[in-house]
Amino acid sequence: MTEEVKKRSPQGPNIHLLYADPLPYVLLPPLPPLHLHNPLSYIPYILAYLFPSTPTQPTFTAAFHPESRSCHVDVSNGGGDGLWFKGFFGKGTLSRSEPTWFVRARRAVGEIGQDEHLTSEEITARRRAARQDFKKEREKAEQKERERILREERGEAPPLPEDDKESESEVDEEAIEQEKDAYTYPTDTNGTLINLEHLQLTLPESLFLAHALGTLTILDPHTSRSIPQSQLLPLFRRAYNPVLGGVMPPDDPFMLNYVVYHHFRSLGWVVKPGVKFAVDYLLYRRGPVFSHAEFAIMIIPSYAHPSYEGDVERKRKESRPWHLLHSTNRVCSQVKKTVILCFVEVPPVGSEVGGERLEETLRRYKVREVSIRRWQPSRNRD
Amino acid sequence: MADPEPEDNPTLAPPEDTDLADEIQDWRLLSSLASSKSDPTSLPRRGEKNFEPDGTNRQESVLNESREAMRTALEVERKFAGKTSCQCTWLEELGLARVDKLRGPHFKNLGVAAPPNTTTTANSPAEKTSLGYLLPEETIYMLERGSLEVFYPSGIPMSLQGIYAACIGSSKTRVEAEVYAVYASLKRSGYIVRRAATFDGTPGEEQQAEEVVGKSLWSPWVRGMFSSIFAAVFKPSQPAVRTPDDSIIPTAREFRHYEDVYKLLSLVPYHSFSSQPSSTSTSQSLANGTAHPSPWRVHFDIWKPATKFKRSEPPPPDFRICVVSSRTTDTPSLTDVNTLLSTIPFPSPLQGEGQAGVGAQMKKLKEGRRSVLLAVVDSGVVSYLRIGDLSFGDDGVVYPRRGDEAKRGRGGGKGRGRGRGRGRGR
Repeated sequence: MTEEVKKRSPQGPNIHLLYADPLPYVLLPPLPPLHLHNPLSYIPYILAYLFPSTPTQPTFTAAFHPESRSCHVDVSNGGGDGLWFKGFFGKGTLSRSEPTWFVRARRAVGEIGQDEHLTSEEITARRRAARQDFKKEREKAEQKERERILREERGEAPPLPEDDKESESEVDEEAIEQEKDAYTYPTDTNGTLINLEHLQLTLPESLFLAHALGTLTILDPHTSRSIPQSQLLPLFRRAYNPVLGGVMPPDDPFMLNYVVYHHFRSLGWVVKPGVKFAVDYLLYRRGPVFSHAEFAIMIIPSYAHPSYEGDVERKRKESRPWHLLHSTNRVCSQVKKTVILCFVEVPPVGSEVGGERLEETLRRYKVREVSIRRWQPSRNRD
Repeated sequence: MADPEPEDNPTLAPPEDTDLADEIQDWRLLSSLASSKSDPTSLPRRGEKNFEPDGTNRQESVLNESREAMRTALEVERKFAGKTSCQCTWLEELGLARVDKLRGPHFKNLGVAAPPNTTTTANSPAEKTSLGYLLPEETIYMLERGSLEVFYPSGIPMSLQGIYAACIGSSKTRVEAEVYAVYASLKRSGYIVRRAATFDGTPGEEQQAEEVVGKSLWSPWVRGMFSSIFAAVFKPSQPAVRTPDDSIIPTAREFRHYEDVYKLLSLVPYHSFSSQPSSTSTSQSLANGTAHPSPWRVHFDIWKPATKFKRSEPPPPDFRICVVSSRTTDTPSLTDVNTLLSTIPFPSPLQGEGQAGVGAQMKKLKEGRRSVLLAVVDSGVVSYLRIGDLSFGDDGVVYPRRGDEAKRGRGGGKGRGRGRGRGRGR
């Protein structure tokens, strides 16, 4: 490996400080331990009793966007940052994870220097460029070795040492310069850059933040008024499956997705969409910046209730093709994730009472997890 | 056949999940062991992978050496000693082969003493466990291997086609082609394979989880008591009526630990090992009995090759296998998984059970409390899946736990090694 690749990427900010809170919810500082024999330790408790304080919770606003089935949070002026940094909710529309487009645009225009506030996309790009160079060098060395062997076998004399070609790299740089000038970044009337990016929340995330935690207010896209929390669940269920009308069946895709999302979030996992690995969700222990995802979740409904006895559709909805199970397993085990089948027991049709709270709806489902791993006889012999 | 080890080339070691059986064997190692014709020089190393001919003579000669070694290995003559010949008689009405003459170590772990469902008159333990009969799949396997000769009751020797026709697919023997394929492939890999009690559909017993005595049984109770006292004293009274428009975490409450927030949020019921198993769904499918047995039952118990196996008192099996054909059976639903897992006992907790640390926590979650192997056979190709029974809810909040709060703000924390070396892991 060449020296550039071995050098570590520039030290970013301390991620333990930056991502200290697992949820966008402010806590009171914990009280020091109480020692019964030491009267001084009673003082914080007495003060807390006499002067109770309620910390102000951060509030965020999002606009519901039914066409893309998501909610958009405006991130100019650092508005939606708290959602990503406390719990990894959402994704920047023009970035890999947290919204960094504005920083990169400012760097392209020249407002900030080449090495200030390096974003993760840029760190990765630099690392990949270094690796490309290393691979080119290695390819050249192998080619020289092969030619040397061929000449030896034919009995020819060894060639004279050649100079490295420098002109190739110059051509590449010119091409890059031309490409960069092709795009003009939009500016407003004062000449400052407009931030084209926003933070995008999936609908289960939005429901969790708005209804379970109460830190998000969702605005109707047409009237710009906030949607009351009791109407969020029916609205999102219809957004996932527009054909549904009237009474919602208990196994519509949004409900199943949300039940599983809520279950794992309430156990402290960071739940992100798993479409990159052909699964429903990925579970991170603390978050994507700390470690790779440990688990990949596949959601399978289960219709075990006696009222579903004669249902013909049931078998089709419960089963998956065998090759899907095997290939998902292969894909996920290549990236060292364990596939978990998450069975959700669906309550009977018509068990929902209109106008009930979300808690009652959630309590009717039941979740069971089962891990699926590939087993090989040759590797498990001892 | 010897599997050449990737000795001094660790970069060429295969990634964890490639099947050793899929890899092309290095035949040159074999030739130095089998015959004396080729000069056995030093152990050949696995060379670098070639993707295309590069015109050198060296590459050609290396390839030819490997091809010659493969041909030599295949030309080796198979021999059988006369002293160790073994003979059996196939009894059609029982669906078993009666043992007449047996010698040799291969038959140590096979066979049954008496046909199932018959009362045996043997009294001593030695007689009870002596090898009286061979099961159909064992007969076919030994005959295929060439270690056994099978005769009809009239004395005519039985051919391989004959034994296959008699055993596979007949309702008497209950050995389908898929079951035999799994049996044979496991035996060839070296495992000890025996039929499980539920092989032909007799319902097994439902297993209950033992109560796990936690070390910290004392402190959560104490903590809970104190927190309820504090709650009564410090926190304001909650509003009496909660409308559907209120969020689950009430706006008036404040918390000092994230665990309390998560506790309020955990509303979805989950499957837990400490709860009573719901026996309604499982007993229905088990009650079908031997007439139409559910495909979701344990067929074989297997032991690793190094196990000291005694036929009279076999140790608990290392793995349990259920065989399904992918053409006739769909992927399991929850009831099928319940049926399959309910007959598996929980292993006793191991020594290192109480280990803390992120790695141990993840390992416990991935493997679960008990597991069963699923052998999926698709027209003769077998692939194995390991189903682990887990409960995320029983493990509790994964992060932050009480001890982790001290690490917030410091650069410490164990972290995971994987995420570090490549910038920020995603």
